[in-house]
Amino acid sequence: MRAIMPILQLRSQLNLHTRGENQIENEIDRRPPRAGDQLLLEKHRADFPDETHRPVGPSRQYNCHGLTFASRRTWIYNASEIQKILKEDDYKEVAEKDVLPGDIVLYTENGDIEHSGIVISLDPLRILSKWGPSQEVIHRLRECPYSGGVTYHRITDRPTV
Amino acid sequence: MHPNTIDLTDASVVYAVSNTPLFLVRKLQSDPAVHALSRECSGEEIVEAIRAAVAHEPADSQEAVRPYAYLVALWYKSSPEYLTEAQAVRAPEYSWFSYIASALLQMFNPVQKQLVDVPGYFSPPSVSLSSPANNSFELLNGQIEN
Repeated sequence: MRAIMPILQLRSQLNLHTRGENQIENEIDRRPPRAGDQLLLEKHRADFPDETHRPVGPSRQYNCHGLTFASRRTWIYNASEIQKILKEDDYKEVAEKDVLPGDIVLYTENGDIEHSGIVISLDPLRILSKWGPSQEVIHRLRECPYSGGVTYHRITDRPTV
Repeated sequence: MHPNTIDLTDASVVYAVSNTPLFLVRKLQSDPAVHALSRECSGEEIVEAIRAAVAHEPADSQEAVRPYAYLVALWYKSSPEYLTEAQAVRAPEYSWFSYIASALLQMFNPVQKQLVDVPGYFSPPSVSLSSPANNSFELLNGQIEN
């Protein structure tokens, strides 16, 4: 039997749950890149020439939070949803001196978690993240367009019930 | 100045790295082009420009950020009347429109803008917003705009 390719809406929401099985608000925007998107991507490349700009994007199908928390499958735009994930997925904050590859980093400004990424190496500390609808970048902590305060978090085992 | 003539180059650069609507709002709040728009266009003009902008899908990166820049310009008005009117506009092609309009209304502070009269020690060019006989200038969120 041949597989049937589903007809997807241009914009839709995934069934995406926390470990607590609560829905995480999200949106996949499948519309194609707009005029100018590629130029802006090139501008980021020029503004941060020493970082590694991965050949992924521009795309509105996922953002930094979608990369960090949803396997690049969707866009999570509401900071309160990130707080929900941190709580219900049993993330614990870790001090900078204890950070390991695989931990996540959050940039927060006025309570808004404006950016997130995954720590992929130490000395120097490098982050894999996606910059809005633009490209994925492997960057040093402060070599990015986000200036919010930084915290590190590690997912832990759910306590045995 | 017509709202359509605003230069949204900086805003489109910010929009291209925005992961969250509130990040975009914070950056637009400090964009001089948005300040100028709020200062030089009336609330009616900006609301009308929003209706026109959201009537179609954005064709490029500047069109994509335009309605959001307009909303923030309305936030700088002294009354929430126009922002409330704009919030009611349907913008199905702009995912963050309702969220940003609601957030701006929640952030709205009725005393964020006030007209201050001061003794006439300013030179005439600096008081161009009001009549030559009235040395007035506007205080926008703590910043003096003339």
